[in-house]
Amino acid sequence: VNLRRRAAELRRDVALARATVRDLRPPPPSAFASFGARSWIVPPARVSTPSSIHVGDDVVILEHAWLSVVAAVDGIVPSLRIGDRTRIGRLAHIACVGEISIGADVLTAERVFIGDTYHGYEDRSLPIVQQPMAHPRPVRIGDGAFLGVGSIVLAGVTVGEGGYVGAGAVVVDDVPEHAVVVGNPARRVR
Amino acid sequence: VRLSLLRAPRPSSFTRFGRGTWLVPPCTVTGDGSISIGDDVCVMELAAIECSGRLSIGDGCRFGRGLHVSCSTEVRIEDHVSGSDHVAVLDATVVEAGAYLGYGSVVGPGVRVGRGAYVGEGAVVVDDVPAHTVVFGNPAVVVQA
Repeated sequence: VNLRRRAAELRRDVALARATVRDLRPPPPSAFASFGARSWIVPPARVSTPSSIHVGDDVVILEHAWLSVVAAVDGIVPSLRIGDRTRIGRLAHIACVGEISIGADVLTAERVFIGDTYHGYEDRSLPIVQQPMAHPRPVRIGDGAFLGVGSIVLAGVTVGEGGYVGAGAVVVDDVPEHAVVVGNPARRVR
Repeated sequence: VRLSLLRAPRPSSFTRFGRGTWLVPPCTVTGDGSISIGDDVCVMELAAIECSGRLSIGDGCRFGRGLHVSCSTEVRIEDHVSGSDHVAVLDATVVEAGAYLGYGSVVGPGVRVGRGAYVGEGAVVVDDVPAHTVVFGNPAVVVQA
């Protein structure tokens, strides 16, 4: 009986490893709305709805990116754009149900989160995980901006051209061009 | 619970491992405590669970990547709790049913997150969170009751 259980566990491990490898393989360039020359999404990565994702030329997206582009709100077709020469660090999480555009020459450090929505929480009778996503508000990251390690950019935020978001900042308001913001919630220091 | 490096921990290592539950590898589970996980739970890759006490995770919980649970006494995560990536749940913490832990949030040690509460992205929770409230910031404060 013990041997049978071990065999079942081994089969389960293999099935899980297979499923994981499949989920973490980025789709081919042809699956994207557009995919520029010399651009790379380094595996492992999770990419959903690549047909709604535009990737420019010379883009590099490092390991463990999660480009979560989902048609989750009725009547809205999501769109994610990543501009030329933008580099995105490891473990980036981009949650897009509406419109997110990341400009050209943007640099992000690791563990950056960019989201144009959030889980609704208005219905007290349901766990938040079962509630619909909130109506999206567009997020724009301007050309040449920088997002520090673990920084978080929330729905409706525009980071201006050359804006600098410090490590761990939680950005809830727009960042003017070339401004420096830090902290949680983020405030402008320069 | 045996040391399990960079692969899915085997269900037999747990005091309970529910049906339809997945810990996506790579995932590390360390410590000699007892871990009970309910049905239909999914924890995505890169989780690190350290447990030398008692950890229970209820039914229908969903967590993103890089979940970190540190439990040397007791941690209880109730049914249908969900979380985004890089959530840390520290020792002696209770997360009540239906709550949500935002991206990169840190909860505890020693706090209680009430039913259906929304812990904002990047929040650092050091005090109890009342049920059905929204908290944000470091330290986290209630922004919507």
